[in-house]
Amino acid sequence: MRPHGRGEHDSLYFTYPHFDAPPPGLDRTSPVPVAIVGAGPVGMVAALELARHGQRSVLIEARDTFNDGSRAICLSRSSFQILDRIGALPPFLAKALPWTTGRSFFRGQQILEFTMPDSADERFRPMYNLQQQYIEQFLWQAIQAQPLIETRWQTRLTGIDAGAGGAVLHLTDPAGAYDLPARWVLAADGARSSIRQAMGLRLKGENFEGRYVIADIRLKHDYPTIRRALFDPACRPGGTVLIHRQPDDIWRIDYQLRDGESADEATREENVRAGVQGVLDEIGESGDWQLEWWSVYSANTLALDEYRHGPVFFIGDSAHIVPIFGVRGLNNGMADAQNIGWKLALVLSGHAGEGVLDSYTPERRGATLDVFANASKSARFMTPPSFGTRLMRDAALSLALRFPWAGELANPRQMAPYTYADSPLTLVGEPGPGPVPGALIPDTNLGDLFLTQKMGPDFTLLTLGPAPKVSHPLLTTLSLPALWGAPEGSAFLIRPDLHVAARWTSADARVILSTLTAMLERP
Amino acid sequence: MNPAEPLYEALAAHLDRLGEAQAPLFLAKAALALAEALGDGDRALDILRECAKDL
Repeated sequence: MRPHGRGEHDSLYFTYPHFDAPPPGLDRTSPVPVAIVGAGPVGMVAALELARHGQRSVLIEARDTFNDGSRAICLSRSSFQILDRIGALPPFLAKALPWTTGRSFFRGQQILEFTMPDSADERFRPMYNLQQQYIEQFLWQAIQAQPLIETRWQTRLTGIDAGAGGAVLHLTDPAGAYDLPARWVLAADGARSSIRQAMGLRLKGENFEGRYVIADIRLKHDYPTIRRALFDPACRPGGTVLIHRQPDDIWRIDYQLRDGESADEATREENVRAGVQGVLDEIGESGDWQLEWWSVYSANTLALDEYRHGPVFFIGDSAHIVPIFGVRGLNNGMADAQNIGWKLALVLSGHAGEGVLDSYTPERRGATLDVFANASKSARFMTPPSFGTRLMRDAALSLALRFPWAGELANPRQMAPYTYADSPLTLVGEPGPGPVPGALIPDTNLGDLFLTQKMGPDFTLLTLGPAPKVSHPLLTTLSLPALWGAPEGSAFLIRPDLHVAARWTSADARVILSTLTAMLERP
Repeated sequence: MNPAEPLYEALAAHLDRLGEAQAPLFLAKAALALAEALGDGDRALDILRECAKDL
């Protein structure tokens, strides 16, 4: 929502572009290899990942511009690695605000300062703040430079027929209705997914009671980029407030609604202004400020049982909805997009059998369930849903004023990359130093470049010491003298998304090649 | 994981199961039993004094 007199996309600092509908003469109905429904950040990442591997896609979007409001604002280190892999990184690095630290306060006193893991071996900081409209704009810039992606704005999905050999999308745009056959479909159409509804699928899970107003304001300030959480502040007795700094002197303020306070009442402009002013008074900010945008939010942990339905794959919020605490929504969605992107690309190019696609649900739904476990704990601490959880939360906060260990219970458990330990694509090997099979590789500063910058476009065989002679069209070989404390002769087979597929303590060319071949040739 | 987290979760679950009316007696019993198990009466009293603050 925007202040009275301003339109949905009338921002104080961002100019929303207008995208025309496809021209009348466009060939709308020729079959396409991949249709991606939803040109939000998750859909755009999927299109760019497919294009990176040389595969064409069509992006379908009902709107004529980007999403309104800042929405998702935190990008994790692993998401920056994805942005790097798809060639979209530079504007993100130039604009986003990196951060490593969070502070929690109880009744005005600091009870916790946490620092996320970071070192000179990391190319990227643990977290970056950037408004979603910038995320979409920067991804769109990369898409415009990519001839393999066709985008159809102002094009709405009205139905879908999915079968074993593909799907037919029923679409409508200002020129009329038409059918688009697609071999594969990626549903990136968000929490209210039209495809999910059209296919009669339902998200399942838990709704939390706590609701928040999320408001962006513009205010000149010099407070560093540190996430602040205020528990039981004077401005919101019994409630919780979160404060994030964003680029362009924009602050994101989330404050919890009181019990019995209606969302309609809380989101009236005068009430939002009063709520924001209360928070600013609490933290001692007395400068002039302007209200930019606001919305209301409730925490949910909801997911589909299965992320693949025939030729349709659900990615991002269409597949799962997670609480904002711990910043896992968009980051998880981007990992979904990358995951299915490289797998579909290898199937389409004939380098992999369709069986590779069966790994998408176990890997990415597994990641969702891991997120749920962590985010649910965070959500229960932020908005305790029961007598017991509330009493214990209040006890922990009160204890934290005198016992630092209790303050750690207020740690929001920021997102960590998920390890695909149970994936059919992961070969469980012998235990030893270095990343386990299924894990995202840790980055390392190699002096000239970081390790992740030396990875090949598809699979990479990393060996410590002399490399065995292994030849495969998808394989890049990299030999380093030592890494991760692993013994000389060790070998790591690393996937296009930088997760370890397999590792060995001694590199045998025949075994490595047969492992890669077996992984790809899944029927 | 914070070592206190499993205890935190277990206490919350007990409190939810027992309900508000039985919570004070449960917590008093738990505090007494845990203090005894600590094996250091002076330390237990110090902790109790600290817990009586900031309520």
